[in-house]
Amino acid sequence: MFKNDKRFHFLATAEYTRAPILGTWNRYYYALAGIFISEVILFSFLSSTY
Amino acid sequence: MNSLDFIVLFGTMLSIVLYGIWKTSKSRDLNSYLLGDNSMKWGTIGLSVMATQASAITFLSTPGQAYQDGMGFVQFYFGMPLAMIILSAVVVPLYYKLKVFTAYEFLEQRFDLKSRALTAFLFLISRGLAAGITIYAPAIILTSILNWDINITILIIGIVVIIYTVSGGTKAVAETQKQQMIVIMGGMAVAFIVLLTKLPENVGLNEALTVAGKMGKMDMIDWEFDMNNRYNIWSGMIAALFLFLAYFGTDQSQVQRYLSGKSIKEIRLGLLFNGVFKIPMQFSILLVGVLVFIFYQFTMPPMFFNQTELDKLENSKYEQEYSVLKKEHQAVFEAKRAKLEAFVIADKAGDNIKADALSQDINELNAKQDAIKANTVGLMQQVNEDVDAKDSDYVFITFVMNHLPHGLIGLLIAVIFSAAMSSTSSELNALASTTVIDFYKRMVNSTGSDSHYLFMTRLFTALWGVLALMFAMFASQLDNLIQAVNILGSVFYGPILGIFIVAFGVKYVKSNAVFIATFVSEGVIIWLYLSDTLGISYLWFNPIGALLVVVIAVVLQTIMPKKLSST
Repeated sequence: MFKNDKRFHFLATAEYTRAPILGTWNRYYYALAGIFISEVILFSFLSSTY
Repeated sequence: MNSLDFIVLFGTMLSIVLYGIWKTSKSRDLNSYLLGDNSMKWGTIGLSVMATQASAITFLSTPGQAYQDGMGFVQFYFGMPLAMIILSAVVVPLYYKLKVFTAYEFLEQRFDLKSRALTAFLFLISRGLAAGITIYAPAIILTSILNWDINITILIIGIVVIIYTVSGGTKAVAETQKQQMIVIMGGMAVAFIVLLTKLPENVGLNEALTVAGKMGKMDMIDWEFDMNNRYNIWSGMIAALFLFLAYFGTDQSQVQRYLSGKSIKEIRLGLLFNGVFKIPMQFSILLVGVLVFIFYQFTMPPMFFNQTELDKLENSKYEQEYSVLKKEHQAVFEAKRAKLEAFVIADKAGDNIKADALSQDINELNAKQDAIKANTVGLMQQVNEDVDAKDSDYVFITFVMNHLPHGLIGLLIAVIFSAAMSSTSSELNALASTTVIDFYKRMVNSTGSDSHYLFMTRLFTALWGVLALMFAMFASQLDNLIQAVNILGSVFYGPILGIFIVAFGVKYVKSNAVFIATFVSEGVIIWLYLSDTLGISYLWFNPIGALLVVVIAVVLQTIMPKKLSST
């Protein structure tokens, strides 16, 4: 009964969950991406320093 | 180990387990037992997800890896944050809203029963065997170091895990994992502090890292794209991204951890917590390994960290040759230590020319030390041709046993046991869920009562536990099988992820196309592995396998006769 239901399409996820995929969570995802980039910069810095 | 260590070890383990049983013994229905009443908050989910991934071998091998090859292994985890973001945005809302017990249940709703059964079956095979190795791998190392019977170590880990996992289900797994992670992080922090105090007086953290850098242990980022090399930034960010998407998005041992979340928000925060803290955690464990390396630059290290094998050599007919190598090892170590002490003084004084000259001498002496070690391994292989030439798994535990004060030895052994139990409990819990939900309830008996399924899940948890124990106990006689099991995950993960990517993202493709595509892709991956034609690292099997399924499924869907492609 669920077969071919549009809710299985990930682009429909937002509609199905009644929340934008990235919308309100954008800031969390950006924050995590920011932390990750900072880590890579820190590791590069440590590699070149030592 | 003395009585204080045993009190700390068993006291820590027992209190965690009893707490877990006490907190969770009231599971009255299947939802409560498998999904913990959907009551988990983000902190518990995050710690549970981290604890499931961090097995005992993580804490034995990772410091040893840093000791051997430096900090480069940290790049392996670079795909994790992006994987957590993708799963939080795309996968979590669907699983949660569809109220599935297992990830594979979703596949029947999207495709058909055969897709669900195939992925669930592959999970049971690979994870079922891996559960035995999760227990066996640390047991073999602990046995060698503690001189315990290997079966005792296996039984201690296995029976305790079976008791609390059968008793409390998912909630017990999560509750105990929270405590286990506290012990693990506390234990590693203590090891870090003790290591700093054990270094010579004029060697602080900065000097230790400087020496490590000069000896090539601080190269954390490798920008060169090389598919043969597992540890460069591209392998970490691309190949490992697919591995983490498969592991966290399609492996029931992880999916079940976050399906128990209270809401989508709690689950997302739990996964993002994992994304934030995983890399720093691995960095810290590797740093402990680097500090152990520096410690053994100033304190005489064993010639080979697996003492059991060294003892065999000492009592063999090669005793004389070994004795000569031992003297050479001692002389090289002392010469290197003198140069290192001079290097630290020159570096502190800002005498770069002298420091550079000394660092060259140090690296030459280090190469000599490596050559002596290789000769020792060669002799050991004359005594026992099956000897494992790799001793890095024994480095950290040897340091713990020989240089930590009593009490802390017990705590660090508790760390290893806790890690083994935390990942095994998740595995048993997930294996039982998949067996009951995807096979027993779906294909054998679909009309049973809730209490019947609860009983069957408990029964299967115990059965999978016993199977894992038996596998671990016989594993020493099945060396080739162990290797095969370690590879199984890498070979299956890519195509399984491919099925889920098609399910989530390519609406156009129906079940027959994806089912055939999975078999074809699996065949290609197994051929790639067996023939080693391209010589690529196993990590790349994940993206290759996943993308092959997607491409082949789309092509098949387009060219297949309508009769076949309509389902």
